[in-house]
Amino acid sequence: MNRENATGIWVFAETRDDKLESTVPELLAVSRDLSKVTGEKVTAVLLERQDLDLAPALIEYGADVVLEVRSDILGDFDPVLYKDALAQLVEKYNPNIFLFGATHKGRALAPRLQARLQTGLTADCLELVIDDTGLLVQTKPSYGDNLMCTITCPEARPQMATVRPNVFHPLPRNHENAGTVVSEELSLEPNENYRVVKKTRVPAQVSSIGNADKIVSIGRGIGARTNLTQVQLLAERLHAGIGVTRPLADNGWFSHDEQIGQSGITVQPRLLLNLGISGAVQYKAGMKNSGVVVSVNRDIDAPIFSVSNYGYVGDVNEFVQALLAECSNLE
Amino acid sequence: MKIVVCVKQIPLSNTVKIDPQTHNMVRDDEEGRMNPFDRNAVEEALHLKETHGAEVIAMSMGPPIFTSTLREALSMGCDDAVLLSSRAFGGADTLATGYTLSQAIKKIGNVDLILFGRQAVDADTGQVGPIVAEFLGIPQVTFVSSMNVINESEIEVTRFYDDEEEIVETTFPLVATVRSELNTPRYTTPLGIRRAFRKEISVYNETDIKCDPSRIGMRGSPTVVTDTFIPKKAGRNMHQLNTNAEKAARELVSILRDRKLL
Repeated sequence: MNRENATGIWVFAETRDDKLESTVPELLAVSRDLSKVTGEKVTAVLLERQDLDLAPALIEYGADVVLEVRSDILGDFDPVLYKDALAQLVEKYNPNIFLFGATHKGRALAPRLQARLQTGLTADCLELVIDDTGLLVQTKPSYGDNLMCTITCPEARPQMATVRPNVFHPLPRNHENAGTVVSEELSLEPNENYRVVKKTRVPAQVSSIGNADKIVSIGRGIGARTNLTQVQLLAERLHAGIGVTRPLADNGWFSHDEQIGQSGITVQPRLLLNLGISGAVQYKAGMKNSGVVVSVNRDIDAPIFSVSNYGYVGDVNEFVQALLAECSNLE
Repeated sequence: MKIVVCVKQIPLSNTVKIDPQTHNMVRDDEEGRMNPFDRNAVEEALHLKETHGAEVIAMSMGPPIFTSTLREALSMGCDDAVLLSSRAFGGADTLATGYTLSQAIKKIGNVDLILFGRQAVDADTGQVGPIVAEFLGIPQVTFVSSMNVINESEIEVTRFYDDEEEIVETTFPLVATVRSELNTPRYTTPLGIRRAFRKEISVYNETDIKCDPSRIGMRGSPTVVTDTFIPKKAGRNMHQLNTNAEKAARELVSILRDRKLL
């Protein structure tokens, strides 16, 4: 579809465990900023099971309109089915912009929809602004966040982007917001050749550090595996989550979903304690939005110190022991 | 079973330098390397070759220098390799790339499984796999951490991302993008390398694969890069704590309490 008459800023209201996925309020906040420039309405597009009703929450987070499709065949995430539903809505309404969270669903669904609509999509954006000509300018990192590109989609519509989680801040939920809910009836056929058999949360101790307020992050400098016990105690004392660098995920001590970095998780804790981490480019990419960064390394030239607020140059395990003792004195 | 594995050649390192005069990226003339996640894709294809007698074709789109990564795929054990190369393909964004690859896959014909790494670690989009799946009109599974072929038409995979695992049953033909948890890629062997050099890498241009010229290369790319820049290094002025561990710990705890982080 092309530029003429395309109007509206759309957000895909992804759901997770029967609630709005955490990037959705972030996307609505960005959209409200964009709408201040373009004057367009912000529309949340919701595909949900019959028994859910997430539209009111979307309005409270900033949507002017909610396009709601309710069907039990939308209960499980099937990228083809969701793509068909969204394509029908896009063809009916011709939106200008369509934003998705760069979650696994967003990263599976958005490009599929992009191909179906033969339009442009920029993945994992860190910034979205409107330029003087009214185009959406998408800033995207590449080469392990060492290079930023700004990208536009001059003609094709909608202009699509997936947005990196934990970068934009959501607006506070506002019960006074007014908005319209539009129920859409779509012709959707269940997909015979795709079936979600089982969904599991990976066990509780491995919860996502992407949202953690405090993180203790461990690198190869920790040395022997037995040293981890102290670190885990320290993390508990500090009420912190545990993250690791890639080598400690690759060697099987931790899973890749505890890995902070360019090919792992982006974190934005208020406090980040780096233990035995040298500070490879790919690691720094995942942690740079952190609040206070404290790093411990025996090497004063370790690159991690250039992105730290506080540093201890010395033996990691000695420091951990000392900090653990000091924290016990607190309680 | 016929498998196409799409591989991308990426720069050796992610360190980026921009020429101060031209504002273009300084690209090393050195050959690049295979995108790490694509190695897992090649390994999976070769595993299926061993267990199910699959025929494995490695495919890439890019300039002639990309033959080195295809040669490596052959050395690992792929049966054939195809390079899609032409000036007309140049400047392609993800949509045009996906279109070109899918036309080549249609030309090869009767492909059961198309494998990709979950994303290329230079551009980091992860878009091309799903785009190809859409153009071929077939199912897709992304972030695959395990694969289990049930029979010649059905397969069960595990998808894994963040803290969620999903087991999906789906059918061939299929596009799958894979994670590093899936397997451990094999090394090339001297014998494999020798065999690979005796193989010919087919090179296709836009007339070899049926293409709509308005959908390839820059013409076929809805997106445009308007600027590239190296971000200001987010430096921080580090305060170094006392060199004695106990004193440093005390100092830190006091600082963190002041900042209400403890």
